[in-house]
Amino acid sequence: MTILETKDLKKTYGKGETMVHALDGVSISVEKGEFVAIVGTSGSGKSTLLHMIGGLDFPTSGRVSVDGQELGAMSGDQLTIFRRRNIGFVFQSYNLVPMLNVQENIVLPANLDGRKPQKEYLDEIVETLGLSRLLTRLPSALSGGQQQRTAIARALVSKPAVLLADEPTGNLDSRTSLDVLGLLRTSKEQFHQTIVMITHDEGLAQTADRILHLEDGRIVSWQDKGGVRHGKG
Amino acid sequence: MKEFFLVAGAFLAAGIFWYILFYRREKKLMARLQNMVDAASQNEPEHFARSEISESRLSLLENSMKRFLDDNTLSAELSGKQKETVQSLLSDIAHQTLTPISNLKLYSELLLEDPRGHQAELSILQEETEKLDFLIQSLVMLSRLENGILSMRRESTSVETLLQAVYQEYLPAAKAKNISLQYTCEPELSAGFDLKWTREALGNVVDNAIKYTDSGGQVTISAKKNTFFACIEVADTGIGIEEGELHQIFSRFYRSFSVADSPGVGIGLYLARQIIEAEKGFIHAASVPGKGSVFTIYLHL
Amino acid sequence: MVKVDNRNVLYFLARRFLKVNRGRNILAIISIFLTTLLFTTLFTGASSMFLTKLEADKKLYLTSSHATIQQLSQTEALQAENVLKTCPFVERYGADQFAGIAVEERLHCSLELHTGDSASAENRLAVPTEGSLPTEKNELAVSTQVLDALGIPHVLGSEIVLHVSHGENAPAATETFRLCGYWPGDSSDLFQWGWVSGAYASEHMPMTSHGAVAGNVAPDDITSDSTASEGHVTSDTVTNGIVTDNAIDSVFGTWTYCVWYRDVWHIREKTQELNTLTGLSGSGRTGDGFRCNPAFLIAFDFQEGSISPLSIAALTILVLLAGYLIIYNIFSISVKSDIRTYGLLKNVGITGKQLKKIVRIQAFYLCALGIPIGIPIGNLAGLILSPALNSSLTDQAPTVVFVSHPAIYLLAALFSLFTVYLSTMQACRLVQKLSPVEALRMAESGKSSHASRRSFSVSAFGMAMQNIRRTWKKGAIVTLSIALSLAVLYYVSIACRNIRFEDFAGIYLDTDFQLDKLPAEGIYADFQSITPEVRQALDACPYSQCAGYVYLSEETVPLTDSLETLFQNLIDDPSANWEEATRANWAQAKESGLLPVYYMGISRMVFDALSWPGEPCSWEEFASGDRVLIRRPMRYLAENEHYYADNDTVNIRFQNGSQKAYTMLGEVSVPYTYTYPYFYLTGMEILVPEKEYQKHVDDPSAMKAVLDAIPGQEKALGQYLKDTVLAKDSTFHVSSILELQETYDNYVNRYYLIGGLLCAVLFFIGVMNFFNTTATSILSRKKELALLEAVGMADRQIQRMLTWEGCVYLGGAFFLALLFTCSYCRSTFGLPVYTLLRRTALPCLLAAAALLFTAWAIPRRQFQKMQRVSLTDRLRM
Repeated sequence: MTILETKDLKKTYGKGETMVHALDGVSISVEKGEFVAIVGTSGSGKSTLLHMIGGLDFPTSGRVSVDGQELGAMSGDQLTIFRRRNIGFVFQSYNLVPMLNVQENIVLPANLDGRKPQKEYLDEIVETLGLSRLLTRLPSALSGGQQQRTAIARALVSKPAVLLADEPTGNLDSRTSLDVLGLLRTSKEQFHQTIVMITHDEGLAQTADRILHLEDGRIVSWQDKGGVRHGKG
Repeated sequence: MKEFFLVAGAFLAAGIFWYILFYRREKKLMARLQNMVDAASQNEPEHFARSEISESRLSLLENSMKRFLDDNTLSAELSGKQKETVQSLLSDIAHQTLTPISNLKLYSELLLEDPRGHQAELSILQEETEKLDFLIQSLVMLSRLENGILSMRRESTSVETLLQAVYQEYLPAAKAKNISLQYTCEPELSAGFDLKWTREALGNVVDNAIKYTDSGGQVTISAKKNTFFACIEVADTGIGIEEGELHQIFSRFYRSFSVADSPGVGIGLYLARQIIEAEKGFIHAASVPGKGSVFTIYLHL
Repeated sequence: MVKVDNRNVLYFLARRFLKVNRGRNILAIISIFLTTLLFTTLFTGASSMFLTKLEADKKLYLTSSHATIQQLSQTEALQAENVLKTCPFVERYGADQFAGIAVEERLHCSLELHTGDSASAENRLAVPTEGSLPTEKNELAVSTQVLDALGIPHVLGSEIVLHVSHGENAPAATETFRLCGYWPGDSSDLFQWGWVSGAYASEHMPMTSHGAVAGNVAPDDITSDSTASEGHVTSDTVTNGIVTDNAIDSVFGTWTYCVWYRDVWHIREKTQELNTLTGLSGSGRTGDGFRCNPAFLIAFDFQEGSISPLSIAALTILVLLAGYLIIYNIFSISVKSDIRTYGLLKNVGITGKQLKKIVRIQAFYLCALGIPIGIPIGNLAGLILSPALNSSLTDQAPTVVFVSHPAIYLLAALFSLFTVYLSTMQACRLVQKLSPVEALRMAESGKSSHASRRSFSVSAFGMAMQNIRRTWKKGAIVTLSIALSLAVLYYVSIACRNIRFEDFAGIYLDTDFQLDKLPAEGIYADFQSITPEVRQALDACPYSQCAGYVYLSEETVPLTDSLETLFQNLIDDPSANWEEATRANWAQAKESGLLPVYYMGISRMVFDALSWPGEPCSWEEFASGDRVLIRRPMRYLAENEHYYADNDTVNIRFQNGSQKAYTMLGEVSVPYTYTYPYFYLTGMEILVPEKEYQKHVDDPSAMKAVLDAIPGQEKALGQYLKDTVLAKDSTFHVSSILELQETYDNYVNRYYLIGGLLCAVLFFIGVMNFFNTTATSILSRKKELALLEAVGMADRQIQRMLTWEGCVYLGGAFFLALLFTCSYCRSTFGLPVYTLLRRTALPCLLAAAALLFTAWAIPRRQFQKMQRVSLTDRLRM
C-alpha cells in the first residue's frame, strides 16, 4: 500500500528573472515498509523535497499526502501535531534538544502526546541502537554517531508512518556512517518502518530498496533493488 | 428548613445539569468511537481516514487506529506474498521432478522386460516410483488447493460423464485385482463441479475402495439426485473401517493400523475432501467393519 | 473534548529552559522585582495619601461617620431610629444625647456632656483608649486635653469636679465625677466631649426619664438589636404626650444620630434617601436633615481630593512602561538566543501555541520569584515614603495613615503580571510564528540568519553606525528607556526650582501670622475669639511691624425692593441647587423684611490690603465712620449687578436695637484671609472702620488678628505668640509663615525625593537595557568581530567601535530627554529657553558623566568577556 505520495510537486523561490525552481514537478510514491533513497547533488532540490514530504515547508503547487492525509489541507498547528505522530525525522545535524538528555530526547515526541512509550518497545529500540549506557548523557557529551543514533531512536519511538532521513551520515566519518546506515536498515526490517533517505552518496544509497535520482528538481531515473536502472518514470 | 430545601434543590439542579452535560458528551464520544470502528472494519482499511488532527485524545486514538490498520494491511500483504513463494516453489519442484520420475518409471519397465533381472525387486521399485509420482502430484494439487490459488471452475456438468471417466480409469486396476467395478447413474443428472478436479477426487475414493477390497469383491459407483445435491455413492465390500477411525480417515497422511501393510500414502481421501469442499460440497463415509464401506460425495446441483 | 495531557511536558521543558538561562533569570527577576516594587510603592503611597487626607478631614469636620443629624427631638429621634433599624443600606449607626455642658474657664472651650453608645463615640473621634465608656451614674470619660487643662492626672478613677449646666438658662451646678476612660486629645480641637452614663442623662434630662428612647442609651451596647429587644415603645406612646416637641426648645436633651453605610459609594444619594425615608429632611440643627460627612465628599471628589486618579494612572503607566521596556528586552533577547532550540522543538512536534506557552510558563516562574520579593519591599518603601508624601501644604502635621493591605498587594501583583504578560507578548509571537524550515536552516548553517554584508567601513565610527542602522529597533528601545529616566531628572530639577517660596506663600498667607478660631466647619467657628486681652498682648508685641484685626457681627439691613429682586433671582436660578437651609434663610428674611448682613470692622492694616476695582479712597476718608465699603462678591453676581449703588444709603439695624444710616462708599475686593470664610448666599459683607464697629457692637472681641513681623524677627514673633496667647488658650488656630516655610521645604523635598527615586530606578532599568543590548550585539557579531580581529583590527579599535555605538545610543537619549523636557516645560511653565537650560545644567552635567561612564564601561566589560574565548574558537563558530 502507498504510504507516501507526491503529485507534481513544485517549489519556486524568488520572482521574475531570479526565479529558481527548487522542485519542478516531482511525483513519487513510496510503499509501506519500503526503504527509498533519493540521490542528488547539492542544489538538486532533494532537501526541499524532504521538507515538503515532512510538512516542514509548503509547496508552491502540487500535493503531498502521507498515510492518506493531505498535508496541504492542514493548518500549521495541525501539521505540527500530525508530524509529531506520523513522521520521524533524522537530520544531518542531529537536532537534538540540547538541554534534554538522551532518554528525555527520545521520549519527547511520545510525551507530547501525553503518552509513555511502551517500555519493551523503548528498551528494544535503545538496545538495537546501542544507547543503553548513554541514556542520562546530554547531547553535548555525545559523539556525532551517538547523537545520530539518539536521533534515530527519537524518530522511531512514536512508530511513525514514515521516517525521513536528511543526509543522516553527512556529519559522520565513513565507518560511523555505515553503522548508522546499517541501523536504519535494521530498524526498517525490525519495526517494518518506511524510510525515505536523501543523500548525495550513491554508495550509501545502495542499501535502499529503491533509489531515485534527482537532478534540477526533477526525478531523472530510478533503480530498483536488482540494480536495474530505468529512465525517467 | 427553607434554606435546606433551597440548598438541596440547588444541588439537585446542578446534578441534573451535570448529568445532562456529561451524558451528552459521552453519547457524542461513543458515537464517534463507533463510527471510527465501523469505518475501520467495513471499508477497506486503506480507506479509513482521520476525521481530525488536533490535540484531542480522540484524534490521537484515531491516529493510532489508522497506524494499526496500516500495519495489518502490510502484514496481510506480506503473508500473501509468502504463500505465493511457497506455491511457486512447490510447482517448481513438481515440475522438476516430473522428468526424473518418468525416467525412473521408463527404465524400471525396461529392466523388468529383461528376464535376467531381479524381477521381484524391480517390481517393488516400480511400485514405489508410482507412489512417489502420486504423492508429488497430490502435494502440488494440495498446496494449490490450500493456498486458495487453485483455479476451480464450477460449472454444470453431467455426472454420468464423471462416472464414466472414473470407471474407465479404474477398470483396469479392478480387473487386475479381480474386483467387479460397476456404475449406475440417474439419467440426465448434472451438478455444479469442475470435472477435472472432481474426477481426481472421485477417482481417489474409488481407488481407495479398490485398494481395500479383497479380490472377488465388488465396488459400485452410483449417482442419484437429492433435493439439493447430487449424491455419488461409492460402495465396496472391503475390509471396512472401525467406527473410531471414521473421523480420521480424511486427515492428511492418516493410515489405519489395520492396513499398514497395504500400499498407499494416506493422502487420497484428504485430497478428495479438500476438492469437494472447495466445490462447496461434502463427503461422508459409513462403514461396517468386515463387510464394506460406503463413501458418499454430495455435489451441489 | 478531552485533550491530550501534555502540560507536564511543557512545564518540564520550561524548567529546562530556565535552567540553562541562569543569567537571564537573574536579570528578569530583578526587573520583575523592581516593577512590582514600584507598583506596590505607588499604590501604598497613593492610598496612604488618600486615607491620611480622609482622616485629617474627619478630624477637621469632627465626625467620622458617613452622615449625621444633630439636635433631634425625642419624637424625631424615634422616627430616625425606626428607619435606621431596618434600612438596607445602613451598616450601623449610633446615637448620643446632649446631657449638659460643663462651664469651665480653664478649658477655653466648651465641654459638652453626652451620653451615647460606642458607635457615636467613634463618630465623634472620642473612643476611650484607656478605660471604657461610663456605665455608672457619676462616671465620666474625657480626652487627655481636658484632663491636662483641668490639671487631673491620667489615672482612671480620678475625681473630676465640673460646673455643669443642664438647661439653657439653668444655673450651673457643681458635680463630681469619677474618670472611667480617656483618649488622647488634640490641642487644636475647638470642641471637647465628655461621655456620661445613660443614668446620668435620664436624671438630668427629664423628658428622657419617661421616654422610650432612654432605653436606647445604655452606653456601649446601643445597637439596633438592643432597641428592638426593648422595643416596647411605639411612636404612639410618644405622641400620646409623654414626650412632646415642646419639651425641647434648646439643644439640651437633643439627640445626634450618626450613620455608616454599607459602602462609601453614592453617599450623597443615600443621605437624601435617608432623609426621605425618615421624613426628617427639615429637621436637625441646620434644618436640612441628615448631612453627609464632607470628609468623604472631598475624598471622592476627584478635583478636590488628595490624589487625582489621572496622576495615579499616569504614574502607573510610567511604571508599566519602564517595566515593559526592560522585561521585553530580556525576553526577546533570550528567546532569540534560544531560537534554534525552539525551532528544534517545533520540528519534533511542539505546536506554536505550546511554544508560546513554554515562554509564558518561564515568565510565570520568574514572576513567582520576583513578585513576592517585590511586594513586601515595595510596601516597606511606600510606608517609609508615606510621611514625606503626606507633608501637606495647608494643615499642620496630619496624622499619617500607614497602609499595608492585601488589596494593594493583589493589585500590585496583578499589574506586575500584566506588565510581564505584555512584555513577553513579542517573544511569544516570535516563537509562535517560527517556521520549522527557518529553524532548520539556522541549525544547519551557524547562527545568524542575516545576510552577510557586502561592504565594510573601516573606521570604528563608521562601523558603529552600520551596526546601529542594522539594529535600530533595539537601539530605539534603549534610547527611549534611558531618555525616560533623564526626562524625569530634568523635569524634577526644572519644576522644583520653579516654585519660589514667595509665590508659594502668597497663595496661602497674606500676612506673616494669623490668629483665629475658625475651623473648616462653620458650626464650630468662634467669631469673637480675639478678646481685648488677647489684642492687648498682640499690640504689645515688640517683634511685629504692624497688626490688624477683623471684627465680625451679624446685623440686619432692611430688605429693599432692589435687593429682594436681586436675591430672588439668585434663589430661583434653576441651574443652582441651593440647600434647604439657604432657602429657609431667604424665606425668613422676606418674611421679616430684614436681610442679615455681616457687619465687619477692619483696622488700617487690613484696609491697606484691599484692592479697588474703581478709584481707591483714602483711609482718612473711610475712617470718618459714616461711609461703608461692600465686599464685591465674586461668585454669584454678574459684572453689572450691585447690592447698592454708590452713595446709596445703607441702613443698618443693630442687635442692641440702635440703627445707623451709612453712605455707600463703594465696592472693594477683600483678600480671602479677611473675609467671612463660610458659605452664604443671601447676605453681604459690609466693611466699616474698627472704631465705628466698636461703637455699635457690644462684644469687643475680634474674629481674627493678623500680624506682620519685622523682617528677620519671624521666629521671635512665633515664640512670642506661643508664650503669650497660646499658653493661655491653646485652641487658637495659628497660621504662620514659619510653618509655611517648613511645609514648603517638605513640599520641595518630596518632589526631589520622589523624582530622585523614580529617576534612579528608571536609570537602572535603562542601563540594564543598554547592557542587554550590548551583550546581544556583541554575541551576534562574535564571528564578525573575530574576523576583524583576524584580519588585523586591533582590540582597541574594536573597543572604540563598541564605545562609539554606546555613545550614539546614550547621547541620543541625552538630547532626546533634554529636548522633550524643555519643550514640555516651556509650554507648561512658560519659561524662556535660557532659564530652562540654566536650570538643567547641573543635572545635565551629572547625567552626561554617568552616561559617558556607562558607554565606556559596559562595552568594555562585554568585550573582555568575549575575549576569554580564543580567536580560533570564535572563528569556528
